[in-house]
Amino acid sequence: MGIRAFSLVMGFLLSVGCLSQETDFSIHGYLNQAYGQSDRYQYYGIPEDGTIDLRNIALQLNLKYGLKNKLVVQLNSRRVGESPVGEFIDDVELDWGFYQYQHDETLSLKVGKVPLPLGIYNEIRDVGTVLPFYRIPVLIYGEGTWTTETVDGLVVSKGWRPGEWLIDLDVFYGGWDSIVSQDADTYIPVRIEDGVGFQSWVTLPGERWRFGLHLHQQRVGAGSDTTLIGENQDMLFASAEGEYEHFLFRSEYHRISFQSGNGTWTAWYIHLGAKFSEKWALHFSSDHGRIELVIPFIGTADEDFDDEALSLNYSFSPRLVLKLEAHKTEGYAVEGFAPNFLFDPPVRLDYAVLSFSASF
Amino acid sequence: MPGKPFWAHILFVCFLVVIPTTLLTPAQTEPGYRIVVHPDNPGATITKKELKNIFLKRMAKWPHGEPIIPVDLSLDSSVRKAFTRDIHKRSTTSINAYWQKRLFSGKGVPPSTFREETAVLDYVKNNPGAIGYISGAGDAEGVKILKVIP
Repeated sequence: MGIRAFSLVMGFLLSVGCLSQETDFSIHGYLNQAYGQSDRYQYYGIPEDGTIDLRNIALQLNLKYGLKNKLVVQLNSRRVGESPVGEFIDDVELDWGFYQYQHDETLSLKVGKVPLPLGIYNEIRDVGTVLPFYRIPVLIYGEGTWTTETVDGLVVSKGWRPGEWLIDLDVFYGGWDSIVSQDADTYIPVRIEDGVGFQSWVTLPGERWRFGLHLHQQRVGAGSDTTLIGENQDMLFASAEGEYEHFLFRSEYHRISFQSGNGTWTAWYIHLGAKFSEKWALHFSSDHGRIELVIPFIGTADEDFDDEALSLNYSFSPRLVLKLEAHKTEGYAVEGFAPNFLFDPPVRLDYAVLSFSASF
Repeated sequence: MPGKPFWAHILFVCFLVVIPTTLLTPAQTEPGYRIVVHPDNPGATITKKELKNIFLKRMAKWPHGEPIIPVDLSLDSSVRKAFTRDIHKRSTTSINAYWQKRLFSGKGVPPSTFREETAVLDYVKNNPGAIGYISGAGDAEGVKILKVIP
């Protein structure tokens, strides 16, 4: 999205916001800047000699007209270090933009490029001030691959409030642009079509614990430069989250089944957080992924990927956070020489990230 | 970076830094608060559950039909800390995180925030659907105080 389009959107929203008494206009944004370095090889854009080219900046424009109508636009500028995914990312992109009709307090419809309700992190994957690590679990959510932030289509949201319980359901339909990794160095842009599914959340009384389930089916659309065209894929996310004053627990299980190679990608993580005070927090995360493929003349092949991490967070204020994190990884997600998971042993590497996040 | 010593060093440094800082953090006393609304608001009392739903924007209209406009004090306000602790049973940091998630997932915008109580009073006086909170003492002329009931 160019500067001209950005200026047009800004100008339109500002002028409408200023002209009407019934409108409520607000601007918000965030910055997430990091330095990352690995001890050998390159891992999801973080090279051995370090990079400061890890960044997310977003600007969100909200225009509310009365109680029922809302227009939201979020622009994003993202840098992913040395990752080959970077060549598919423009300097400034429309992160999402949608119109929302709020029928009542519990039912709404969003149309446009809408944040995809998927697990705990998809909708807030770049909001550093609320994330325990610089990146969300990369083996589960990918780095711009397989999963997506948005759906070009519609999302219907409904909530129920029986007693002290909260039950929320989002149903969505549409398509989106995604990137498929052939190996750690080769990515292919694809268009996902007819993505249909739901995300549900049940929050227990007291609002400390919630449990989620996401299911969807998608099809790799025509026009994609890949042998996967026409393939149907099924995706499952199961989530659990508990949050107390000084303790945080999160865990998710993810499974995607694809026709090519009769394959499945299964991943899960456990994240534990300890908040010592309003300033200091310590987080531990253990992420695991496993690919299983049926390969003609060879048989079944499966390999594991691991990423264990520890992060120390210091909050200057709730909207200004500094993080220092260390990761130990093992697997095949190494960029630069692309080990073959059928024949090569897994690669071990450590990396560290120092990041700074702000929001307003 | 070798195996176990690497993690041992990281953990050691974390605790060395975190624990003294935590112990040195001063304890804060929490003053009371009063709920203020526009003088034309027909209500006299409000429950804590209603306040929670209003300030999390889960309740959009007053019983008399007027749209509700909640306004907050800034995050570092001791009055906001007391209000948040009493109504949400959470810290202001936790509520701020809730709103950050809502905001940047496109699900909702937090209430407008004012730094000074006088600004809250002015806003509530001039907006029939507004609701805010101020400290337990001091002038509250031109607004109506609602009694908070469990």
